Amino acid sequence: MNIFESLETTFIANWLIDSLYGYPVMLVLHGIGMSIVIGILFMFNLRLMGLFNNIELGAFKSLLKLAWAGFLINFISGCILFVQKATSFVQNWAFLVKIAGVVIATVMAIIAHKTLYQQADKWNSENAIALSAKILAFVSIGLWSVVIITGRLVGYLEQ
Amino acid sequence: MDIIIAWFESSPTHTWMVDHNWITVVLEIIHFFGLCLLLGALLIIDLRMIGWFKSISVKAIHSLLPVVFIGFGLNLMSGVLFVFYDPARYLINISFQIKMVLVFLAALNALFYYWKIHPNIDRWSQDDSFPAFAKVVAAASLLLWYGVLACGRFIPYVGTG
Repeated sequence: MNIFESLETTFIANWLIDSLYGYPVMLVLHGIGMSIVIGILFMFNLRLMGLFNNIELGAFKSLLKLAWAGFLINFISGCILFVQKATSFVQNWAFLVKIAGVVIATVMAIIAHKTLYQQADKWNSENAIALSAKILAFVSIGLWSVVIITGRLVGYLEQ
Repeated sequence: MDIIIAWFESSPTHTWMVDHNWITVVLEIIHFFGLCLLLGALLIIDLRMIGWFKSISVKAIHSLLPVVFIGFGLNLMSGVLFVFYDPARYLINISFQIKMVLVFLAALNALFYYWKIHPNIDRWSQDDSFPAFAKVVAAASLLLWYGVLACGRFIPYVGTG
């Protein structure tokens, strides 16, 4: 029995299969977390690209903390949704692309959050955001979009 | 109800969507993009009204309102098309029916906000003296919209009729 098969026999997987509404409740949590983390990161990246200029960049320091709370909700609900169909998911190309997208986009968000702490005041006072930051913001929006799209496709490709 | 379902099913939009049913996959993706924009921006605006993020001015946070409207527009469009595609599935589904009631209540809540709170925002922002009812309206908005999300996700998992 490989690791993914044994995940499917854990008590979490059994609970999810046995409970009437466990699965949709996890889907609801995954949807709420998605709206928090991707919603806020979309607005943050759009701000870096030049929209919503009357919101100070520094404001996103606290907004991004809320985004990480959304990320935590989705990490936990995502792991619970994963275990009960682990062997199916690891053979699902949409799922694999989604996870790759999440990993890369999350690393980028961590770097952006750190950079924000160093540069927010400077960028704000000069009203000039580095071109590299704008490009990374654009790429980040693209990556989270891939995550949404492939996330939707996972269900269609389930075996 | 049968008459309404028959009307949707006899529409050219229904026929076209059934003939091109891949469009529902695209519409579902759009519905999720709209969800992120609508609820993401609304969360920040409503939490600010409740009293979070005091370092951000209420006026500045309202520049995110167009994001809410774009998200709502995307979801209204894709949502109406879902009903055209499969009216017999949605219209008799209890979770869908509750979802529509919650959307209606959220719209009433937004109208109340537009009439009673929005005209006073500049005045109340100056000394951050938002009255309690403004916070109740903001909290109600969040609860209603998260209820909308939950009911939407439950549609495939509840009995119909």
